[in-house]
Amino acid sequence: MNRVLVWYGELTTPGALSRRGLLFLLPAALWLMAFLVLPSLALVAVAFAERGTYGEVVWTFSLENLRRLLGYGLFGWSPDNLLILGRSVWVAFVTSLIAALLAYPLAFFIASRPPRTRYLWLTLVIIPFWTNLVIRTYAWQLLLSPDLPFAQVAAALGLAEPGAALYPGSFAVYVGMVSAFLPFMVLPLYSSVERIDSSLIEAARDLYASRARVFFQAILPQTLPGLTVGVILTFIPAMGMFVIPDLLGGAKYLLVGNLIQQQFGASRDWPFAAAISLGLMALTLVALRVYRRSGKDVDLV
Amino acid sequence: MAVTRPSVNPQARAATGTLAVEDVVKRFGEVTALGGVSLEIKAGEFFTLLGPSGCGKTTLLRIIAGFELPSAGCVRLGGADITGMPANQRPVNTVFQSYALFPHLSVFENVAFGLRSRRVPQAEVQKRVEMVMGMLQIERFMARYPHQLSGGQKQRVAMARALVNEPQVLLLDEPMSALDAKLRAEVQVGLRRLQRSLGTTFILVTHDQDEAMTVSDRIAVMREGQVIQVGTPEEVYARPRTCFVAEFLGAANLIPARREGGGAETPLGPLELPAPPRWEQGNLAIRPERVELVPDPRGHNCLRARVRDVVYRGSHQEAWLEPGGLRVRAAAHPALRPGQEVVVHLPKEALVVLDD
Repeated sequence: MNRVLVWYGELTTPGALSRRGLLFLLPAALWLMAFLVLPSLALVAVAFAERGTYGEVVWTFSLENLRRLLGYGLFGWSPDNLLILGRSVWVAFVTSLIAALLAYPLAFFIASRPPRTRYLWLTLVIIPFWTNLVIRTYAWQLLLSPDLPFAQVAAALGLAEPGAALYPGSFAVYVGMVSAFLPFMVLPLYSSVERIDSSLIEAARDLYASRARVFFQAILPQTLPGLTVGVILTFIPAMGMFVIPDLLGGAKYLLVGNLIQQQFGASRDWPFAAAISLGLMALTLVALRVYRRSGKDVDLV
Repeated sequence: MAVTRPSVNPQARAATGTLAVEDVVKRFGEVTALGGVSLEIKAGEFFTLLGPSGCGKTTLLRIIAGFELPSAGCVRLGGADITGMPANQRPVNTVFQSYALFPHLSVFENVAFGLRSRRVPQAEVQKRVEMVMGMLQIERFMARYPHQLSGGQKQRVAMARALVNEPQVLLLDEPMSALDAKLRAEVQVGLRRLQRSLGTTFILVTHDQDEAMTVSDRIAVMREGQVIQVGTPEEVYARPRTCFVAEFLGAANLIPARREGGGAETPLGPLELPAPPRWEQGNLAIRPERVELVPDPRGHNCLRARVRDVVYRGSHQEAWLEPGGLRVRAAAHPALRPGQEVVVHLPKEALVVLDD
C-alpha cells in the first residue's frame, strides 16, 4: 500500500499509520493480557478442576463444581447457593435504586450551588474515600449499636427489639452498601446534571407537564448517561461485595462475595470458588445486558 | 389542580382578553432587569418586544410565560391576575430560542406533548397534531427525531408544539435567530400570515428591527429595563421619540439643535421644523432616505455640502456628507463621487423633533 495520505497535517501512508497505532496499543494490550485475560482463563480452567484432599487443585475435568453451585450437594439438592446468588443480585439492585433516589436530589442541590461552593460540596461527597471501607463499615457497627440513637429510635418506634443492635442483618447491610456506593452514583450523575439544558425543563412546564412528567420526560433522558455510569459503578461492585455483608450481615445475610471468599479462604476449595465466580460473572453480564436493553441508545462506557 | 384548558373551539379563543403587564419590576440580586414596565397587548395582536441584548425583553417574556416571578407588579390575562399562576397552568405557550425539542421523542410526540400532559384522548391528539402539522407543512417529518431536522424544520416543529395547544397567547423568544438570513425573511412572512389566520395573540422577542417591522402590529422598543416607545412599525420608525429609538430602528441622522423661535439653530444652519421644540437644547432626527439632493438651493432647509464617502448598495447608494457627517440615501443613478459638491434639502415634514 503506497497510497499517501495527510493525517492531521502529516504526510504518511495507511500502512505506517496502522503500524504506529499497533505500537501504541501494545503496552496496554500486554498489560490486559497478563493481568486480566490470563487470570480469567485460569479461573475458568480451575472451575472445571477438582479439589484434592488437602485443598490443592487436581487437574481432572469435572462438572462437579457447577452442579454444586446449582445446589446438588452431598446431601441432595438445597437452594442455599442459588438463594445467595439471587440475594446478591437483589441487594445490588436495591442498593443501586436507593443510591440513585438519594443521588438525584443531592446532584441537583450541588449543581444549583454557586460555582465557588460547589467544589466544597463535591469534596464532602468524596471525603468517605479518604477512609478505608473496612474502617467505615466498622464505624457503622458502632453507630448501629444498642446504646446509640439509631437503635434507640428504632426501638422506640417498635421497629427493633429494645436493647438490640441494628446489626447484623439485612437493614445494616443496606445501610452500609448505600453509604459506600452513594459517591459512585452522585459523581457521574452530578456531571450530567451540571450540563442539563434547563430550557427542556421549562418547555415541559410550558406544555402543562406535572412534576413527575417533567422528571421523566425532561430530566431523566438528559441525565441518563450519568445515571448509567453510576448504576454500573454501583451494581457490579455491589454484587461482589463481601466486606460489608461480612461485618454488617453476619451469618444472617451472606452474599455471593462472602461465599467466594469462604471457598478461596477457609474452605480451601479453589475449584468451587472459581465456579461461583464464574456464576457471578455470568450474572453480571446478564444484568448489564438487561440494563442495556432497557435503555437501547445508551453507551455503556 | 385547576388546569385552565384552552378551548378547542375557535370562537371561544377569539373571545379571550387583553394581556396586561402592570408596573412589572424584576431584580436579580442587585441588577434590575425590569424597572417598572407596563404594557397592554390586545387579543389577536402581533406584538413585538424589540431591544438590544440585556434590555429585559426576554425577562419580560419569561414573566409572561410563568418562568419567573416579578419582584413587583402583575400580569393579567383577560382581566384575571395570572402573576402567580404556575407555567404549566397558563393558557400561554412558548417557542424557545433553542427550540427545546425533546431529543428522545419523535416529532409527532414532541408536538403531542402538551396534549398528552393534559390527557387528551388519543383520537383527538392524532387529529389535532396532524392538523397543526399540516398547517405548518411538517407532516412528512412526523416520524423523525429532532436531531434529523434542519434549523428551519426544528423551528416549525417548535411552533407546532406550542400552537397545537391553542394557547391564548403565543410567546416567541427570538425564534429566528438560528436561521440564515434568506430563510429568516421567508419565515417572517410565513409567521405573520399564520398569526393573521389564527387570530392568536403573538408576542415576539427580538433584537432585529427588520424582523420587528416585518411581522408586528405594534412594537415596544425597550432599553435598560424600560419601555421607551410603543407604536405601530410606521409610528416608531417615522416618529421616534428618542435618539435611541431613532438609531435602533434603522439608520438615522441625529442633529444636535438649539431652539430659535419656532425653528432650530443647528451646526448645519437654521432649520424650519414641523412643530416648535419643547426643549431649549436637544436633537432632531431625519432618515437618510428622506434627505433630498436638489439641483440648487431654494427656500428653507437647504444647504451646500461635499460628498466624503459613497457606498454603492445596488438598489441605491449611500453617501456621507461634509460638514456634519450627514448620511444620505439616494437613487443609484447618477452616481455620486467623493469630493463632489451637492445641495441637500431637509424637508420640514421629514424632520423629527426628539424628546432628548
